[in-house]
Amino acid sequence: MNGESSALTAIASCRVASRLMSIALDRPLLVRERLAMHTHLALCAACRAYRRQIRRIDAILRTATAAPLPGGEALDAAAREHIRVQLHQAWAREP
Amino acid sequence: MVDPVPAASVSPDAWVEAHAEALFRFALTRLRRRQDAEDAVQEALLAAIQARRDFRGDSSERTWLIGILHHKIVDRIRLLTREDSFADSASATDDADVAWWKPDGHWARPMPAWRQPSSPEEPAEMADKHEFWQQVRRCLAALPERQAQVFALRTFDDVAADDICRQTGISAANLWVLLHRARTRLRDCLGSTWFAPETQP
Repeated sequence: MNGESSALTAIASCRVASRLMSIALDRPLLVRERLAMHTHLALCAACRAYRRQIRRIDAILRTATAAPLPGGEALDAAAREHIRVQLHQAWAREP
Repeated sequence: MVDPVPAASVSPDAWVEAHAEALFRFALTRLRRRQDAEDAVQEALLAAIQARRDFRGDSSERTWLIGILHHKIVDRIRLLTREDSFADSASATDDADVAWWKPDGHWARPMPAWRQPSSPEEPAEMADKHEFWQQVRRCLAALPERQAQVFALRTFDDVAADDICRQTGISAANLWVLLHRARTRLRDCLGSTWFAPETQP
């Protein structure tokens, strides 16, 4: 965290400001972090677009919770059989 | 009072038949490597056999198994993270950093515009857009492994950042870097495909 704050002594670069935009999706920003982010955003159209875009992705992907994503690779038959055999052995050991 | 599950309804064959596929897909999205996902599913089902008397039926059997699997996935990420310690995945330079930012920290390239959301309900409307999720899967597959793993825990499973750090042993500073890079890569990948202005869904 010290790296973050020392980088904020001047106007934040896009790199630092965009990291704060990402962190803001994970925890509330500290006052000085929020100030640095918004100061940068007021001056930088590219970062405003970046922030809109990562927030848009976040909002959509958050809807995919416990359900597996549709499609994708299947469990192969050998692995499935291996798991089945392991479970049978464990089952037999359990009273 | 909830009746305990009748013993006859629980059997290794029935579990594998009913759940193994879904558990594997869940684990694969979060761990990325097939071997890791297969191992996590096996560990979860073995743990479920030992704990089956604790299952009280107040959630579905699938939900209960997913909960156990989630713990096994986090355990595995912790082990994998420990193996990173020689060349830490977050502090090591990501090749993509150079492409994103100039040495002074400004964007190296202009930020491309995206097409507008069709409505404010976009997140809900995407739920059944199969091609979109296929594209998400391809974009996640292109992420470095640790980035994809912490991103999935944070975004799909809504695990708090503090908890990810505590459970995986990744420091907060490294987590911010990993998530920032993951989001920037996904922004690039989805931006050049699904959200590109000329692309029609």
